[in-house]
Amino acid sequence: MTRSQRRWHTWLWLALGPLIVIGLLTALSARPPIATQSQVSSIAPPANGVEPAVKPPIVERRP
Amino acid sequence: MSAGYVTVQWNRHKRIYDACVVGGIAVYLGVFFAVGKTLYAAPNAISDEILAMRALGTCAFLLLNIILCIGPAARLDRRCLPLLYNRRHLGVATFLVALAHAVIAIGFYHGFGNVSPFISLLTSNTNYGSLSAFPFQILGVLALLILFLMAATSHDFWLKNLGAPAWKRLHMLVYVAYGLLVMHVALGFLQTQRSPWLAALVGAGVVTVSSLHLIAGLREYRKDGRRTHCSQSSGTHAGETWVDVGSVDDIAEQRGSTVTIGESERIALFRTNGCISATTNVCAHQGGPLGEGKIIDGCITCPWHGWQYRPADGQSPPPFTERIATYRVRVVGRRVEIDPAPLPPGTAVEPARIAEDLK
Ligand code: HEM
Ligand code: FES
Repeated sequence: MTRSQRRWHTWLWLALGPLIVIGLLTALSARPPIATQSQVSSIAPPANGVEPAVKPPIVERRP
Repeated sequence: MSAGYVTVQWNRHKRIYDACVVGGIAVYLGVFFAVGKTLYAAPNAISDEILAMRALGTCAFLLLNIILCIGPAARLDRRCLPLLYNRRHLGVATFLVALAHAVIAIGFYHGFGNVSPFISLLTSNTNYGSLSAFPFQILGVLALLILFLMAATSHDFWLKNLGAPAWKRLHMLVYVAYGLLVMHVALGFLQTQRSPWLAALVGAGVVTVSSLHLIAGLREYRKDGRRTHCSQSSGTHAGETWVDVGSVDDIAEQRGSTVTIGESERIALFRTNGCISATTNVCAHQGGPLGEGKIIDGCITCPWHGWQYRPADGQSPPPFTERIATYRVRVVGRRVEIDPAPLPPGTAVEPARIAEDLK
């Protein structure tokens, strides 16, 4: 690599690394609180269109 | 070696590399599927499609983390150089695995309605103002487009046609793709999967990739600042300046070394058959550090992908046509002196003979 490519690369990671870490932390801090077991069975599909991958346990309702 | 309008030039090393890549991916997917089936047993079972999507998605993401670590790791430790040799095939494999993940995701979540899956993918969620409900799939789409662009232009045919600087700039987009994918995972998968281990794993990947780049970059920066201690003397011809760059004994036979004079590009020195030659340190292929290479079959051999140049004139041996800049060099006693003005690529320069080796 040329001298300017090396310098450019280092500056890029100096900015990009912290930026990605901040993005990750922001996304994690925006997570909605964990649903309790009783809420899980009545949960609506999340707004981002993805079903919860773990199916809620089937609660048998006997009279 | 050099670029031509030919298909991939297979050799034993490339075949072994690719066999390891394909084998590694197959083992990862197999183990993920088997362990996933056990972990997600009834009543928490997930469908095979979701398990396959996860296996492929995590595999592609892991591969991308590895790809991004290879460059700086090879700068920091020569033992990682073999990984760099065929990194482009690893990139193409990553794209194919990511494509399979995307195809299953689109088919599974958008394939059963009465609108086209692609229209549904782009329009079913428009919560761009929300973080927890963000349409993270779009980030995946953008990253996949970048990976496609890179896979499609990975052959040396494109490197030659676009020119090394434009090609390099295009392939720098991989860093943008990485950022997009971290957010794809953070705003999608990690919003519903709450295990702190998963978040920590993604975070560890980001920290490893970033810090390896920074450590390697800072080391190179310091190396550039640490100029070769040189004393100058005037030459016999007008405008000729000779700079003392060290002893011949600093360079092992059939090996290279690197010197930095002032603000100029690094210069690579080579010792072969009792002679010293000097060329630019920047390989014509992708800028590999030639001074860290070796002399193989009488040619300077780049440590990155093995392009070769003759030490005496900086030209690739026929049928290849690449040329690199050469420098005038002389040996005074056991000291090596260079004229730091680069000569046009491919200029023949009489190698400087080491007096002792003449005896
Ligand atoms: C058209 C492009 C893409 C679409 C539509 C897409 C869609 C999805 C969906 C629906 C999920 C599931 C999220 C969840 O379970 O909560 C997901 C997860 C994930 N995606 Fe993608 N994705 C795309 C591209 C990519 C690419 C290019 C990569 C990596 C190279 C990737 C890596 C991942 C990973 C690591 C996960 C988390 C594990 C998983 O659930 O599979 N995705 N993606
Ligand atoms: S052979 Fe690829 S950079 Fe030199």
